[in-house]
Amino acid sequence: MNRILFFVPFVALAQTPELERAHAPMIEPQPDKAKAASAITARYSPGRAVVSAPVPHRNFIDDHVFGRMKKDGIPHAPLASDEEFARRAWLDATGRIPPPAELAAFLESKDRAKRQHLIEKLTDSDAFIDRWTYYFEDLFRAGGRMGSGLNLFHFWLREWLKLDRPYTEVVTDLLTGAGKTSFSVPAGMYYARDFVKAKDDPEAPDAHDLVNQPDTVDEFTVTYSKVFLGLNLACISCHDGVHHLEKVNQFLTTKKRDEFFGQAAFFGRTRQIMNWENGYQANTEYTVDDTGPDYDAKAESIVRVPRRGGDASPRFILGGERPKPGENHRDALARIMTSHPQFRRAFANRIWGELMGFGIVEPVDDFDLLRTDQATNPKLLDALADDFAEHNHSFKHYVRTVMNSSAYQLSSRFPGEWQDRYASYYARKYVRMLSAAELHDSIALATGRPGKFSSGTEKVGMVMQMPEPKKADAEVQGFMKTFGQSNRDDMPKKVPPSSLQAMLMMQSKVVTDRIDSSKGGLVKMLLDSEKDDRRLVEQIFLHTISRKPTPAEATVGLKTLAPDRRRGAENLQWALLNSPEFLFNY
Amino acid sequence: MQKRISQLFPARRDILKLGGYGLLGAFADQALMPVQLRAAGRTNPRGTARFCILIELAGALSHIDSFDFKEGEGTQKDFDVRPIKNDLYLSHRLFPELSKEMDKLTVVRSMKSHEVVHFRGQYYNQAGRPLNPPLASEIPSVGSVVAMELESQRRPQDTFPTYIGCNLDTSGCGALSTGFLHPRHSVLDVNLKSGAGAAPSSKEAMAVLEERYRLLKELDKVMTPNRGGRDRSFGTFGDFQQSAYQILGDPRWPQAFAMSKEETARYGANEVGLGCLLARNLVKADAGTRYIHITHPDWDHHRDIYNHAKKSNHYIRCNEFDRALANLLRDLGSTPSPREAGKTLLDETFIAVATEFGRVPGPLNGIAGRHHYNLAYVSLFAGGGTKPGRIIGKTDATGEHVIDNGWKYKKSQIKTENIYASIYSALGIDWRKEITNTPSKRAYRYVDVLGATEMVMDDEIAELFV
Repeated sequence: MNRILFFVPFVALAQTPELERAHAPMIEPQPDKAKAASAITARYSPGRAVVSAPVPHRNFIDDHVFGRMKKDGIPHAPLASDEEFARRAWLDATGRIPPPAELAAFLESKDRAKRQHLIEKLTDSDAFIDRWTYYFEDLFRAGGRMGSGLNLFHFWLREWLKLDRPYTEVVTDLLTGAGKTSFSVPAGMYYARDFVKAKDDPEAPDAHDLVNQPDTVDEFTVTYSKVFLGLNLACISCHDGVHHLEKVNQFLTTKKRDEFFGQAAFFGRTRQIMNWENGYQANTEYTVDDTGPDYDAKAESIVRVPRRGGDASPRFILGGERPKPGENHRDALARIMTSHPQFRRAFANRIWGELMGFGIVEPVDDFDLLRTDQATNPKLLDALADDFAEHNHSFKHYVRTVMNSSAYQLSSRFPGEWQDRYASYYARKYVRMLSAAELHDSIALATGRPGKFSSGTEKVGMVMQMPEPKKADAEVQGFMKTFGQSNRDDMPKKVPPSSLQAMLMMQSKVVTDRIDSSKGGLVKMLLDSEKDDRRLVEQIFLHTISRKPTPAEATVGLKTLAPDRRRGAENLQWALLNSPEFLFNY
Repeated sequence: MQKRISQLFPARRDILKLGGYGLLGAFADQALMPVQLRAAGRTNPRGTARFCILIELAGALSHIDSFDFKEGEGTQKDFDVRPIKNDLYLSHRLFPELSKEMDKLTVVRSMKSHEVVHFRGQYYNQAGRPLNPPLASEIPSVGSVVAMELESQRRPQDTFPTYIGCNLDTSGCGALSTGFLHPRHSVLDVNLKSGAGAAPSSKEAMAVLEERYRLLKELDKVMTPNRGGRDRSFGTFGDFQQSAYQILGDPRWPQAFAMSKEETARYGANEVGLGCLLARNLVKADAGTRYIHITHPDWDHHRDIYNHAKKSNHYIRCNEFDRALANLLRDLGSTPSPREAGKTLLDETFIAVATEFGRVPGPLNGIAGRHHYNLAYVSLFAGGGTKPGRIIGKTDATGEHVIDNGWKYKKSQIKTENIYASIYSALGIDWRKEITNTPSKRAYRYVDVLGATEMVMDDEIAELFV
């Protein structure tokens, strides 16, 4: 067994025989050693030699990604074609498929640095702000109790991305704002929304005692630790890690509930006061201040196991740093956290995962800081984090750095025989299904039928321009939910593909209404403007799957138009919208 | 020079390795087929049921106010508690309908949960094992394992998916994926209350869809070369399309969703009522669906559990569940099986009612509710070869501790794993099988013995059947 494990490159640490015996049921028995050895040879030898076409190293990412593949003899896909790259870049940067005219201009350009220029153009566009504001709204769970503060929070987020404010500053705002949330500090909405109500019927006009403060702080501490540090502290918010989390997270086995109290205590004095008038919450606005008592490690909990005391002085969960004398505790938290390496690692990993399909550490919200094998490429992760920090925590810089790498620009098509273990090397671009909002907006664009939504102040056509998906009609909401749109109360989660998704793509009005040429839209426009059937087919392809048809595809398209041009054109767009080349970012 | 994280947290040499590479393999390339199965050959699955309906009371049912009734300070005056049999009592106010059907139900009162948190508890109820985050992405839901197991029994006329969920979207963990299993074994989850995905097509719409689907398949043939070398998920969506198309084109699909006003009123127009009604129709239709998981949300009454003025309280949830299950039992019990003379559909359907844990016994807490409690709670069983009317396990006078586990393992309480072993058994599946070629290389046992808090007996609850 030891020998076998020794050959497995991912098992870096030796297993002791004691541990092995203790965990015998966890380890696969070895019925036939010779057979097992040959299976492992087959699995971990390069097999048929696959020679990968060399790719240029655009930046440090490529040194790490391709360096690791070279070291381990892993073959990789070639660079993506311009067509493949462009659709991917548009979707990742702006959440939308490329407009045919802009795509054509890119494809025709002879500029040697045109990919770099396209990345710059896309990350400078308004659509970039739309897409990533929506992304961070999912992450920050913008909606629900934010009520009237939501619109302002929405604009505040857009402003971050527009001005490219440093991520450290943005998070500092999110953690430290004080005052009235809806009007003066929109960032304060982030934590104010998560209060745990202590009771419903206040007798005093000052309603700060409506909030169960320690429970609220616990909830928020679990949330922001996931979001900003990639650490899931939920378990130690109720009990010590040791004897509980050995199977779950090695790092947390070293942590006590008491240390969680220390982390929570940074918000110990913070009060969220509801605006209460005549016995009702007057609006979803809160006043936030830091004049409460300190975190009480014995306070009654209405959502957790009883608190039994312990050290509740504020100290950072990673390293134990404390506020300076006289420093506001939340200011101290922001200062300590945003300068900690895990802060930038968590962010770098999360966004890398969004752009590359999966994180260097997975799940992105659940780092185990004691496990050396969790990160598939730890040096790359550290390098990404450091580069992010060295560039003023600029989100735009970070996205551009990743997108400019050859690692990002590899084709999703692997020429040789694919083995699952190549995936962790990023040996080809990972194919992912469009997110719910990307899908909706891309359908709207492909069909020339934008939605009728409101951004809070003006009419908009894209889901991604709305402060929250709940502002869409029920049909759109049901559609998006099936494709994994978060409800903005829970953390976003990925949904598996399903027959239900396929059903909705086939018959939901979100799709079928939009290709109905009697209601206008792209098919109607093309039917009127394109007299040549061949051109009509080509245009439908370009508008829907962002490429021209192959001769064989064109033949099928033309055959479809023959009996009934209108019906044929509608059906063709329907079929293309249902093809993987539309449904996936590849 | 900034400190690297590895310097801040030096590696511990004695860390047990878990997951590692495996996790990534699982969702970077979802399908890992074919699975390598290893049968331990120590079980004798009963095979007494053709269908399984699992009703999950999500948020946790208070055991001492329901099927393990204990009179105490928390007992409400209007409960109208009446004896059922032996030491089993039931509130007529909370369960007026089920009070009449208790002869069809078996009550297990010696349950114990590994979990006290909803998210983990609800995951446990779908995955059949406690959540282990490093491995989570490769763990399939039990329904998907059942779908894989029963695939070979699918007949040409079976178009419905083997595994259908009702309201799994309301669960804390959502509908779980198929993990390392092929995506074709995934759940089709419908929420009848919000209407997602239930709408069947009109005849005219089907004609259009048929024409379009034909074109899609024709295009598919010439577009396929463009898929070579890409991740499998790129190609496998076609499987879901085919399944979706078959379902939509089957006249039995709209029939399964056709619910008269009378029926809806009888079962209740809520998640569990509509779910049970759909489950009944799916069992009647016998069109491929064998495993149905219904989530009944919103049982988590930490506060105001008995406050009639609240939109959600124990009375409302119990009454909803009461009508839904009682009517399901009656309807299935009165419909003869088309397969076997003398049997009813209830005889062929294993029904299990699970909840993630219990609620704190004794007096209500300071906010007039009950918090979470995992040391004793209840589950219910009916049909599918079980012996009805049994009472398994017994708690002390307050319902705090189990004093008799009621099954052959005198020292071990019954757990969710045992509910699932019983389901596997009833459906004729060897529950001690394991899948060896998982992405993490850790064998996936159908019923895992490694609970989060203690070892688990990997056995069925034999006492249900004999």
